[in-house]
Amino acid sequence: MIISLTPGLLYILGAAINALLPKSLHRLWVILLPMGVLVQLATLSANSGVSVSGISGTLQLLRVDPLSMTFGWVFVVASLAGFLYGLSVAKKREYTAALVYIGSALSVIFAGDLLTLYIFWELMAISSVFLVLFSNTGTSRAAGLRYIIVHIVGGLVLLAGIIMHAHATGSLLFDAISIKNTATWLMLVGMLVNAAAFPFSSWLSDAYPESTIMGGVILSAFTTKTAVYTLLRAFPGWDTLIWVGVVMAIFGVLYAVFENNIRRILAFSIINQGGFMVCAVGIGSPLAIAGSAAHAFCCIIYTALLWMAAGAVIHRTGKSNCTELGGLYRYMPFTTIFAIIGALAIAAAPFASGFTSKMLILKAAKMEHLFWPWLGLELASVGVVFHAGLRFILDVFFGKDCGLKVNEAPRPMILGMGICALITMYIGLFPRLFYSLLPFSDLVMATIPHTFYGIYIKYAKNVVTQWELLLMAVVAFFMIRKTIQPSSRILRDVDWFYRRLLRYVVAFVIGFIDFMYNLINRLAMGGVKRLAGFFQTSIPTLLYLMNAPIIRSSNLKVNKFKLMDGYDKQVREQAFPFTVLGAMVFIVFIALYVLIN
Amino acid sequence: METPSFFERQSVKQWCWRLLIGSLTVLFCIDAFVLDRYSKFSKHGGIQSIDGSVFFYVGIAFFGALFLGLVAKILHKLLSAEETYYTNDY
Repeated sequence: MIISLTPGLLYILGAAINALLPKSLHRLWVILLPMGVLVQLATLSANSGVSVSGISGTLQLLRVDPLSMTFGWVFVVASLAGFLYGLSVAKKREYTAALVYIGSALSVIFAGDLLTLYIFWELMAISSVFLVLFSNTGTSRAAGLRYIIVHIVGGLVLLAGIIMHAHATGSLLFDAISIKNTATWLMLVGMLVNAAAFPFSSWLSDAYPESTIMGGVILSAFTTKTAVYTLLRAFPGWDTLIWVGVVMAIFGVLYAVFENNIRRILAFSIINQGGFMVCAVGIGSPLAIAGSAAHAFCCIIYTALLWMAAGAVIHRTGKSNCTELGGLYRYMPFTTIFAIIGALAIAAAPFASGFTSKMLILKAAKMEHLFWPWLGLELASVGVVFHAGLRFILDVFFGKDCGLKVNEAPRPMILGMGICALITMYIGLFPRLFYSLLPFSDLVMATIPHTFYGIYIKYAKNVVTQWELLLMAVVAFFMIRKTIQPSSRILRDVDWFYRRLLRYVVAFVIGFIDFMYNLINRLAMGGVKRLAGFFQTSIPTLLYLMNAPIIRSSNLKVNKFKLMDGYDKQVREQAFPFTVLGAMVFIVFIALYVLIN
Repeated sequence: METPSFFERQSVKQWCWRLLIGSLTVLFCIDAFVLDRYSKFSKHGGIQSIDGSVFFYVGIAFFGALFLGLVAKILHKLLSAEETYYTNDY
């Protein structure tokens, strides 16, 4: 048995060490650990596999290829930025939970078999819920409970699929699946739950906004992107995913339009952006796969940046609704700048990372002549400008002054946001290095311009049309702004089925079972009583009739009724239960015999 | 009376609006009269029959945004509920 520490296991071990360290040292530890893992990642190559032999065969804990490395790099970088950001607000227990969570996500990324994937998949769900629960409010506890229930059910669906798949194929290898059967559909559904695909998405907008300040940043980066990775690995080219992705992308936009809570707006953005990635998985061409991985990479960074900005605002103001905020650009200039960079990136504005990654997906859709999905994604891009691009920035930072005079975010927060903003802009301006990390990087380089000159000068038409798209969306936004003001009302999501309808269903089922129990009880007891009454009177009568000739022949003067009472007493106290039981068994046998023949 | 902040001033709002429309017009002109005429600035790949027209993206953005706003409004009418709708639910 070979034991080696993979990046994921290093994080999990690091969590145990973090829990034991004193407060002064644990802060240093949570920064040094991701840095150490970054060094480890740099030394990994395609030959760096780690396997463990056990009773269920060989488990591959570390599989290194461009796809896993793309996600590995961004996970570790995002964790470093997130941990730096949290230094001034997060408690030690949050870091411990986050380390286990990120370690599990990394272990899923590098898993080469389905059993390893499942184990860390569940550990990821369990550890992440603490980032919600540590908010320590009534709503966070309730949301956390719903979150873990949804994830455990999703995990069980995945497990059922894995068991059936392993039984059918005899293999636990985690690789592209081409067979469409019950097992693989179950696996797909299990993964789509974590990807927050419609109609399994409501857990995200329910739980993430209730998390802690740092928890929100960390959660925004890992669960859904890990699921996208598993989809990329197992289900590339499954046509169904094209439309699942398009629906996700548009659903996220539609639900965010009237949302008031800034972190819930960003939660819907995660669903929206995930739609682009899932759609690309469905397209399945090498360029689409590279595009999906690229978009996951960029999305993790700029979504984290937006969550950081939102967290900084909540930390300083204590408010999280658009209608309670406004005019913060004067008090939080750095946060405003970083939020604008994040918003530009999520809206795929040229010079920011979202543009370079979304371009790959849209190009892949065009090359496969998928006009309607392509149009759906373009529409979703327009919608993103509405909520994450304009609503979040305008209402929070430039809207009517809310009267809150606050300080700029603490320095660690600024540092965390700065790292994310820098990466976002660097990838947007000079994507060559980034593209070289991706799977099928040679093809990407050959198909898409990858230098500053290539993107912004030689093929400037792409840039100009994208600006036209964005600016026209801005014009449309201002034209209809008054009709789409954020509302304090909530929009019922699919969670209505398990938060409201299920309650009524459970109440109905319990009532029905109760009613049926009483009915059957009454009927059965009535039948038993009648049967018992029959035997109670018939057996003494039968005994009397059997004894009658003897009594008559012996000329004894016997009172018939007294004798029957005696038999009755005897039957009740001694023979009755056995007699009834015997009679019932006999009747049952007769009934069965009649039924069979 | 409290002075409105910089971005709340009516004149600033007007200038922002003019800047927006002006930028869009300039981009539109560059797209139609410069980029489309010189092949070396042409779109990298793409399907000309789909998105060749200079009006295409502007149209998608404008009508798409109005369409999304309308659908969101209808959804909001149909599915919205009081903030306390789920209170005490699990």
